[in-house]
Amino acid sequence: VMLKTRIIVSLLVDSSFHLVNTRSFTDRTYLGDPINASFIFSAFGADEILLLDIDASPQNRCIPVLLLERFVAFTFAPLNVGGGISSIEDISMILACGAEKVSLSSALEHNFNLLHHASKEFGASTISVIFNVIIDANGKHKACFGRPDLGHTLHDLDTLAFKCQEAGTGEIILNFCQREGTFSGISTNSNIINLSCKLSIPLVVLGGCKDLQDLQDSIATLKISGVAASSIFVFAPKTQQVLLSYPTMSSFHFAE
Amino acid sequence: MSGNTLVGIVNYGTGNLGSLCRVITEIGASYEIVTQSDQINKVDKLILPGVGHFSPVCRTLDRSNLREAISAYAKAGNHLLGICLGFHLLCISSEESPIDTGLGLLPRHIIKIRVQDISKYKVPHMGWNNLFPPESLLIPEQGNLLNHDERSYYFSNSYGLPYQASLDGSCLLYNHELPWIGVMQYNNIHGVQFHPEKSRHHGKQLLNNLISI
Repeated sequence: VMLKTRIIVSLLVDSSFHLVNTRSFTDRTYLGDPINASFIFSAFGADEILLLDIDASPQNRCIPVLLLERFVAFTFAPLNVGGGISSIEDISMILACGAEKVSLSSALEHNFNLLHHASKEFGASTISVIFNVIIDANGKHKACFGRPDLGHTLHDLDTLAFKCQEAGTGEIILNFCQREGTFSGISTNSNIINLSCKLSIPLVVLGGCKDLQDLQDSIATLKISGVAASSIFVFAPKTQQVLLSYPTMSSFHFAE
Repeated sequence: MSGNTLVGIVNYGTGNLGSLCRVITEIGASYEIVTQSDQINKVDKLILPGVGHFSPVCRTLDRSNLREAISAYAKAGNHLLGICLGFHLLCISSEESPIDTGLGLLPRHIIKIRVQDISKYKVPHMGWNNLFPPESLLIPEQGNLLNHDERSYYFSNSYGLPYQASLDGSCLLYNHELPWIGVMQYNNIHGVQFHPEKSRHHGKQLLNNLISI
């Protein structure tokens, strides 16, 4: 018996407190009420929920406490929260609301020290970092804090991952933003498998999950700590009709 | 049965109080957020919650005089539950901050989880893991909180208590390359390494069991 690969539900909210789905940061689809989704995924027994306010960083603000308080009031699931977090005070506020973890990203581009301070103050297991990952013209994995389409600096993925591990992050989430909302399949690239093997901290991949079979196959191939997905949990298969679902515990039986 | 029980939840500034308070309410008990030592004597059960770093939390306990009050509460035979970091605080010390001292109610030392095979075992130990009884016990000793079951619980920890066969009290273990202590009971002192408030319905049942003692 050992840790199971977490199947993480990624929920995106916008500045109007709407639950939305996006395709590579654009083409927003309104899905409904995030509070309702929080309750439903909790009732499904989701392994973990990743709640991200996608407008927070571009608008220079933190995910609002009002949203978090309501969200947490309807979920028992372990909760990781991200969106515009830029200070120790932001993190204190989010944890006090009842989240287990926070995800840092954009703020680290100009204030990388925040990662070290946050880890020291709250413990590594409370701090995640999200990279937006793209594959460049030479086929190399590049990562950045914040959105590459908004001009944030691209770094070599492995270099940035080890730098963050060194600074004390407890987890790295790779958002394959070119795959987001495309149902093109989770990346099972060997570079990602190698990176996961070399890192001492948990690694999670997000973006592109096609269906439950893809989820199961990628978990078996990648052997990583978690796989996060959004679209397959909020749309009915092969449609754009909103239907919240989550694989039941019995439908997945992972070998060691 | 738990309707009149008042559960004290110690607030040391970094705990995830929101979820815990809500679970306590759902169970049908009431709670009081404890920030000052004089609040402790009126609660029926006391919980030390679990998100944060050992060092700042120890200092908060000292500043608020909660350290003595919690020890006195425990020595009077009242039931205490430490969750994750709260469990570490019940012990003598933690490698997370060797210069600080814990409450010393559990005669154990918390150490950093070090693994040999980093390709397979990551630190922090994060996610859902199962509990099992120590092999040395043919019949698992029954604790107040939990009997051995097949369900998994939500963990998030970089530090832990390694299992030793000579351990007093009853315990259940989890595996992360080596066996580590997931649940421990030493008389009226209870510690859990995982987060019962985040561990689905069976986590809620554990908290209910504490309240029903």
